[in-house]
Amino acid sequence: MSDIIVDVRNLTKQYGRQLALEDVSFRIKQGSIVGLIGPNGAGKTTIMKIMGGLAFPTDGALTMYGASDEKGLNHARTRMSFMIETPYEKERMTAKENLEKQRLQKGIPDKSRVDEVLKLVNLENTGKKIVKNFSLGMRQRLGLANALMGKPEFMVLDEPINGLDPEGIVEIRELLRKLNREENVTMVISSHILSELSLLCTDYIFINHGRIKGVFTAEELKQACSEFYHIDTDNNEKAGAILLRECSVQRLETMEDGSLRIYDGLDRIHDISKTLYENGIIPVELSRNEVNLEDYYMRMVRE
Amino acid sequence: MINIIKSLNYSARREASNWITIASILVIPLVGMYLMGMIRGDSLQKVTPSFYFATQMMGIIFMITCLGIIILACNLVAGDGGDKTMNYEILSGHSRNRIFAARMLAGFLWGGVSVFLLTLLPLGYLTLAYGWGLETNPREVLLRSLLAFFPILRLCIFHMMIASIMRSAGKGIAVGYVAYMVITLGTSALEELFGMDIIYQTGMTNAAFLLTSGNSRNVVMDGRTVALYDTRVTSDMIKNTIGVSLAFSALYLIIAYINFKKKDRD
Repeated sequence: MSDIIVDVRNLTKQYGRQLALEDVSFRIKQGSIVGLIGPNGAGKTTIMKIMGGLAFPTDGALTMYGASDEKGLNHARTRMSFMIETPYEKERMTAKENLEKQRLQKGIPDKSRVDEVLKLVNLENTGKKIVKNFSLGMRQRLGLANALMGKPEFMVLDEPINGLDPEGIVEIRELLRKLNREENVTMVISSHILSELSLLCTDYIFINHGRIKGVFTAEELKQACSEFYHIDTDNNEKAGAILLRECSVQRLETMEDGSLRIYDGLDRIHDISKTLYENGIIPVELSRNEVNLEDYYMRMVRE
Repeated sequence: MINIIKSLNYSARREASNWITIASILVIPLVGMYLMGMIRGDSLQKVTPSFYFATQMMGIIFMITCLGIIILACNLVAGDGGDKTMNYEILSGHSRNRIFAARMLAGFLWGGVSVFLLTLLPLGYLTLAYGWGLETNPREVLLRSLLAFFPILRLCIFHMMIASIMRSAGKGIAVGYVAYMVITLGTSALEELFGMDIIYQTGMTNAAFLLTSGNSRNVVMDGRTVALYDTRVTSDMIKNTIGVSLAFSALYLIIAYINFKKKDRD
């Protein structure tokens, strides 16, 4: 079990009367990239803040690198880095000055690390431009640079590609992938750009209304996001019954508009359509589709 | 903790308002001396440190330059309140206690120690330029000046407490300035209307009292009539200054700490 570096158990956080997290439990393995997925106000940032020490849980336990007391957690945080919400920087200082401040604060002896990190995030040419005049994308890059300063073993990134242009998104994605692959950096990333997450993550945590809706590995999610046939007929209710009874379909789902989805027996679609026809059902639409991460997310959120 | 202080010091050195404040504290005594010379019709060369102290100029100038304590202390403690850069200190694994201690210490170094040294500076350069002078006893004046460190500490921690509670340098300075005006005007009113002697009740009046001489008497020295000013330091003065200043400083620190611990920065 030594590869588990974060163990969250029954975490609850209450802000006044508002319950931000309720009985949240999950684990994070060394070297994984975990996508934290949920709509606004789901509790993603609260989880990250508790991991970062910016907020305290009302109940439950957080263990990071084997430590669960405050002193131990603070020590664990020296091995981690965080970029939570909009990065807050000294607005009247340049990118280099902000990173130098972080270098001093973290006690990093190597002065060249500042230039190194600026280059990594493509901010080396910002010169004397103060952060106040930075675009959102540049601020995101600076936030990421801050997170990279201490050569962390574990990064917690809240919306790291928010505000970046497509080229920037690719650059940051490649950078994160490289850090994970070459330096075994573990990551927790929250993002609304689910297609981006699907290109990076090895594990997923779905959260809504402060509750965990599902924890999956990429493989499990791939299976869940399987292919299906979308069937719409002149009598969907009867068609559903026939599919279950006569076609041995195991996984059938009725959609909001009444149409049907079947996830198994895809290789027998000719037999299925024939059976429906023989029972007097006229298919209006019969198409092969795939549930992508966004569809799956929407389903989880609606539940 | 030292890393946080280094980092705060780094950003404070890049804050123009800090340097403007320090430059003002340096220039104000010079302007005071120049005006004093004009009023007296003498040249600036005659303003010895002894004369500077005896004529209450040091105390009066301190009343103006202590505004610098407000600006520097607030800038250091809450100058980045809006930026929430304190979050980075927490996220880097520094404990809240250390962050609090580091910020208070950095604020005191910039707001308290620097203003204290700058207040003493004219005594130094005037001594080097013209010698001490005749009006006051140098040892007593030096002891009074060193004792002023304690009410300055108290004053600085008071303003750091306000800035910490307000979480904003601007608001801290505004509230601090109002407190300054209330204390200055209130003290004068109480003294004038009710004949009350307000010294140790506030850090500012305590420091101003120490940096001001007492009555004078004329004596003839080397064939010249010289006014000798009373600058004696009594044991009560030392005990009250140190005791009251430390007690209030501790109280302000406790209030600031409770507020700091109570409020999650989320």
